[in-house]
Amino acid sequence: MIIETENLKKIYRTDVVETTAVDDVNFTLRPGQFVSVMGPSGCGKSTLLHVLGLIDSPSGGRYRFMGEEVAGYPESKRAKIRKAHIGFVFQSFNLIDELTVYENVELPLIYGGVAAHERKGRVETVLEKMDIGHRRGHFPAQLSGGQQQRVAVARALVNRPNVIFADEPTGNLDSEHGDEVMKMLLKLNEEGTTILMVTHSATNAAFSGRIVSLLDGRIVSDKSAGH
Amino acid sequence: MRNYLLVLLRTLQRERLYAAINIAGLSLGVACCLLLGRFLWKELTYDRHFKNHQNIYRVVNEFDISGSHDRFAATSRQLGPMVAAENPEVKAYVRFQSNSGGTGGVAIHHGNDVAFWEHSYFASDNVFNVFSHRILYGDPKTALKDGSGIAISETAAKRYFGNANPMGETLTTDAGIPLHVTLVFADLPPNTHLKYDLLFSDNNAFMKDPDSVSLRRQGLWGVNLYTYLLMAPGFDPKSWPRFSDEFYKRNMSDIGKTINATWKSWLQPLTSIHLSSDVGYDEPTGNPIYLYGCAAVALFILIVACINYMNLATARAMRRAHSVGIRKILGASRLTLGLQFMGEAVLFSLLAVIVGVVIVEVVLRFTNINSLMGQQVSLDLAQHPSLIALLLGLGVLMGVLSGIYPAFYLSSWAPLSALASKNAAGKGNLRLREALVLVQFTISVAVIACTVLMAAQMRYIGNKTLGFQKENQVVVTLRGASTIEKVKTIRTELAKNARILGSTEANRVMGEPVPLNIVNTENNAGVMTPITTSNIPVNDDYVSVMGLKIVQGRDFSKRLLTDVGLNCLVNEAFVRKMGWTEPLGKRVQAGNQAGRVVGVLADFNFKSLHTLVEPLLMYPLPDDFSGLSEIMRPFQERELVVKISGSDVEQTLGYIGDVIAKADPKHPFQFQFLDDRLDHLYKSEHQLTRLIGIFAVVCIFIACLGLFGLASFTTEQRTREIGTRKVLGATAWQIITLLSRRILLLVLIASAIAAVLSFFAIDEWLTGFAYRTGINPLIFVVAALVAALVAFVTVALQSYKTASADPVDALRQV
Repeated sequence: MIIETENLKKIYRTDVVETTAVDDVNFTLRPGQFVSVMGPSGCGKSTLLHVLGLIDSPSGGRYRFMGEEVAGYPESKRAKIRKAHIGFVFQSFNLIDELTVYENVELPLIYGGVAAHERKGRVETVLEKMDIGHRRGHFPAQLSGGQQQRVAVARALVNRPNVIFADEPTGNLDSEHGDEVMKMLLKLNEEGTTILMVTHSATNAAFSGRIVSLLDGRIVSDKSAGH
Repeated sequence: MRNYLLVLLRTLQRERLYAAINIAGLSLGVACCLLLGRFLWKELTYDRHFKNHQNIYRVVNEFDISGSHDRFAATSRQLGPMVAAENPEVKAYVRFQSNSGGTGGVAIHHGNDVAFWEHSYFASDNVFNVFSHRILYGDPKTALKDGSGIAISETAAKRYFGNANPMGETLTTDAGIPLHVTLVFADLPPNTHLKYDLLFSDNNAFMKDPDSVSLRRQGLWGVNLYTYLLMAPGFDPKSWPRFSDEFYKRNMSDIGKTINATWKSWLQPLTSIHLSSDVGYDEPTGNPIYLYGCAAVALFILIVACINYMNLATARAMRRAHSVGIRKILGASRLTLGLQFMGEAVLFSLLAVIVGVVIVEVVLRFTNINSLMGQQVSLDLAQHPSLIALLLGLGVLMGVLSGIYPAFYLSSWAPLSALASKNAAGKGNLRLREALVLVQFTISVAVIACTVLMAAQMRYIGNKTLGFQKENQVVVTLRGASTIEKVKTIRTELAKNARILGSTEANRVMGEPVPLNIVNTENNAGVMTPITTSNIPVNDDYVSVMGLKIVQGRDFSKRLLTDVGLNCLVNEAFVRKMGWTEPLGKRVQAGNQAGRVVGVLADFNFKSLHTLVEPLLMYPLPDDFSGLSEIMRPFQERELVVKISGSDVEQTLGYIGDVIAKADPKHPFQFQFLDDRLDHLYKSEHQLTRLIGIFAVVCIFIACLGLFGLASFTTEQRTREIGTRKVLGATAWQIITLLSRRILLLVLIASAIAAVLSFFAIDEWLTGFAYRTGINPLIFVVAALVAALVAFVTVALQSYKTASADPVDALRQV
């Protein structure tokens, strides 16, 4: 099991308001699965992704990642797990503008302490896989949305993660490029990559094998996609 | 590292304004630190070029005569040999006796060529064994063994002989005494406290130490020359006071009892003389307060520049937040990110160091900053490779100081907060930036206020009534008894010129060091009592020509037969010191000369305004040189003071020159205006005031650079708000005042803090002056207004563009 949660909670508190974004979520993710998390705006799906992706910490409940209880981990420990096991794809790509395509993809390997000679080989491999190698010297601002998202996917893959978390990966793309990205994710999953995707699009959700529906921070249904 | 460098270079390219402001501020900070640092280094390393510097000491002594304490750098001639004979830890002694004469120094001839040398001494023949010099020609062991030998500097050698080897050549004194060049030494470095171009041997007949012990012991009560001791390695200076006490008891206490006086001595390490000597009869020394001032200014400028970097880096945080968030999500640790930002700051600083070095070289080459600093400052990086290492160290230190807060701040964000940043530069960040601006402007306003106050004190000194007329007084040194004997003729000739209002003579004029003597004077009870007093021998008309005021009695005059011997004038300070109820007629005796007080002068400042008016005795100049030996006749000097009308000065000077040349064809005509000479007393204060003034401007310029950068970011951040306000009817002026309101408040608070700080700083500086101006509170108000105006203009310049643009442009940009 890659992910197991038990009564997972995330509460946001201000001076006057307390908002429960994730409420008593019991969720599991097995290797090789492609899971979509769907729900209306404000239902807590991105929050759930952030907590599961160890970008944010839960307010309560238990969370086992790769068999390790991580719910109470500080950011420094979560960062170590992220760079070893997790790849991220975001709606707005989140590439670093001052780095080239090559350098953006190389970044997780640098933080992971991979030696320079090994980094080169891995970056080139993944760039070719995403069919973006010919733009390795360009900056993000010089690429189309689809190309930027391919770079983001390449970056997410380069450190050979156990799971990829994708947060609305086609949200900023037109339908043609969005379709392209979804097909790419499907292919990766068929090759064995585990994917957890947040989406509000039923079309995109149909690419996955399992759909979890969220409402007001709670899971209201969890069933196979039926395709 | 490569990644960081790439990111930095691309950032520099994309954000040129930010890069330019930061590099400009940091490099100016570096340049100022370099210039002031080199100046400070020279001041702090005086005399360290002498190999034996750690074991060389100067003897200084204090005379206590009837309760009056006087401390002198000069000692008696006999002291050196006598302490060397009685203290086995004294390896050698060297004596330096000044031979510089009056205005312009001693005249030395080579054939028909004559030059004046201000810095020359009679020196012991072992001088080069104790004080290491770079010898160009000659044998240092034997150069001054013979009384006719003379050692000259490279400058002196070039002056008379060009590039030729001058060994064996003959120079002559005014008296025609031949001196054979036996050694040429390289010019002493500028950071040498005792400078000289000529060293005469003191192995001559008129400087021979007496054989009689009792005569030598009597001589110990005189003050003639500087005595230096080379002590054995391992010598403990703490042992000297005991030795000095015992020496006094053995050799001086008998005489001391008879004249109601005591004596003690102590040792000054050679390398500390320049900055910590506060005794009389000394060469001009440095003032440690000025060094503290310079060091403080250098530090302040660096702090202001580093604060700029910090402020701009944290203001740019919003732009970096996104990148920080992604890097953190990808697994970058806080340490990794912190090191990245710190590394950026260090690289910026190193770049600024390079630019700073270029600025310094340009300033040194094309401006007169060296004259402001009073010395030749240079970087000489090729000659001082250690300076390169220092510069790199400075760059790293600056980078760490500037980058530590931005590194800490930027790396501390949680990944999500950073990614979602719209106001990543939150309230805490804003408060810190405002605090940093506050510190910058406090420093800048304080430096401005100090500069204005110092200038006020210098103006006060320049304008203060000194109790005598200093303007339009031409001072000429009459050299040799032959010329002085013609002074009546000279003065008669001068009087024929309508633009010459009078003339007089004296041994010293105002502003020159005045000798101190022990003189016996009659107290109120009629008993003769010793008093230490300054004394100036003067001639007729001195009081009227110098514009002095007699408050009791009359001026003395040689025309009156009753005024003979030591009939004298005293000043009010003398009267106060003696406690006289009726000064006129009181007896005065010095040596075998006796006389009475015939008049009292109103106090006047015959020394610099650093000191209060001291007791002064004026008595008639001897005119009779018939008893003088032939050998001493050329060494007689006297100052002739010529009061001119001030109109057609050039013609008047030409007339004076012709009259003098007729009386003294041997020497070129040299003169000085008295007010210029007096101004020289405050040369270091003037230099410091100008220097601090320049650096004050640099300080506030750097602060404004930072403010300019901050204003640009603030404006950018509030673009939408500005657009909305404009839609609702705000004018450009209202927008500008909105954006500058907070800054102006900070500047006013800074000014209040700066006023307190600068008040205390200047009050401390003014304690060095016996006469001081008051501290006008209006100056702080003016400094605050200047700072506020500068800050307002800086912010307005930046925000004007956005404030006057169409509101739709502002609303569209977000």
